[in-house]
Amino acid sequence: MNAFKNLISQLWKSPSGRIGLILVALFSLLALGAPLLSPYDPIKQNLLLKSSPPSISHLFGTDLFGRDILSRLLYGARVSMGIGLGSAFLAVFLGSAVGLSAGFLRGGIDTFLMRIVDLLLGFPKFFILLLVVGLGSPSIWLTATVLGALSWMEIARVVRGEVVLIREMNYVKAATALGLSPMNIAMRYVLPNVSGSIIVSATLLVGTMILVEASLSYLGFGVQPPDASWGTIMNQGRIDPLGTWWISASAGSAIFLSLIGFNLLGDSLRDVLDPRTENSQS
Amino acid sequence: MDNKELILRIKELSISYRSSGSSFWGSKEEIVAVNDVSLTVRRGKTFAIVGESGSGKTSIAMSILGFVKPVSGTVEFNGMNLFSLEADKRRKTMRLIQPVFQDANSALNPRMTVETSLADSIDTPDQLQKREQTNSLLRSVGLSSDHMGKYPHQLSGGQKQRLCIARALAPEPELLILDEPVSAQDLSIQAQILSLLLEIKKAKNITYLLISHDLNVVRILADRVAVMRSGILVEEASCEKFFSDPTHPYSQELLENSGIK
Repeated sequence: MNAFKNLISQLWKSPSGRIGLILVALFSLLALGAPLLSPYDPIKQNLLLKSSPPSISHLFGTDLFGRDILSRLLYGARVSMGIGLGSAFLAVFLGSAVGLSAGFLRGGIDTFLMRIVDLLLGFPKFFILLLVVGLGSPSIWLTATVLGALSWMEIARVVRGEVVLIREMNYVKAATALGLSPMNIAMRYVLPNVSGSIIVSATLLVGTMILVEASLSYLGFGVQPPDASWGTIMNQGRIDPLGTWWISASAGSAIFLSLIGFNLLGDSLRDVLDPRTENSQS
Repeated sequence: MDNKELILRIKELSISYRSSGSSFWGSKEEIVAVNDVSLTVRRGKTFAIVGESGSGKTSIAMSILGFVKPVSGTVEFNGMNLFSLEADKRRKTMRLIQPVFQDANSALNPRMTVETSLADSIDTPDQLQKREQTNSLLRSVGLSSDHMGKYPHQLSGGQKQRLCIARALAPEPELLILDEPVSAQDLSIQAQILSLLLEIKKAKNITYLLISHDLNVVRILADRVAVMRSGILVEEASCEKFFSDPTHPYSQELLENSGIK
């Protein structure tokens, strides 16, 4: 808990870290508090109010079916950020496991795993994503799983590269000479020293995943109406982008600000968690 | 010589490395680091291997520790061939051979406190006993329990090297491999670490295998000296003989260059 407090205070010292923290915390709170904060039911239609511009009663206006956009954005944050966090978690878990195994064990296992990574990186990811999500019945879980399963390779490469360097450090040799088991060395001597890179990659990946989910939903392959995600809200705005500008603008701003938040947080974490940086977090 | 008097016997050890391929097809060049080296180390003595960078002295140390696989030859520790031991037996035996590395910065896990680093080296499930031993180890190298909660970056260079020595002493080793143990330290710290190593040797009767290019350090610590050049052992002599009457021209050159002779 103390380490977490230290981390937050280190992040707070830089303007970019502060902005990143505020934005991520704000969007997380809005997503979690959606049922309490939403002024209207996000899926209840009111055709009398369809395509109303922003007003006092509907701060962000209404969509083509008269649904309150603010309420849909708040509920959409749950879906978009849930998919972003869930898929990033899966990708980080798979990427870290593969990268750690390849870099620590080396030899044939390293070659085998890295060739698989090379092979998968050569696949057209977005096409496979559209295919799998399109063939199955689109749902939040399927989207998050497929996104995560197709995004771990870059993390595996980053982790493997760091592990190869760290396993040659003398403290790993000293631990080996002390007779500690390879599993103990991998989990307590190697993994904690690549955790900085993993956390940074994860943070940056959440932003990317939110964007990919929005793109999928925009194309109609992600979350299906009447459920809201930022991508589906943007999709509605494309029918009359000038006449109903507030629909795309509000969802686009949410995506933009959350991306900025996660990217700034990721960059600041990279600085704070790097042991070579002054005032870094141990 | 009585077998019990011998702690380490290296027989016809050869080590080579493969360079990364320079041609388009990646054909690799073989670099011989150690060529047919044999030597014996007596229990309780300090055996120094000297030579310039790239002479193969650290390769020998890494091979003893099992980090480098030799092309041929054997390393016997207490009469057991280290290369033919089963994994479990080898792990237990290797706890009796501990390294102290040149660069203390890279020898300590930056994410572990002094206490955790030392506790990891003590092989007992009893937490109270572990803590007592950790305290005692810290005291034995001139550190105090105040250092327990500190991370390596909060320690000075000398304190880090003391911690490395304490960690190496934790499993009660019979052989310490000292790879340039003071060359990364400034002069005053060098003197402190050398005097600590002499004290430990006297108190615990541990055998030292000293790897160094600094002949002043060798003169203070060593009983016997082996000189290596381009992977070949060119001379082996007692410390007095080496410093007073070296026979090989390369040994004479080393002494002249270091300003000792």
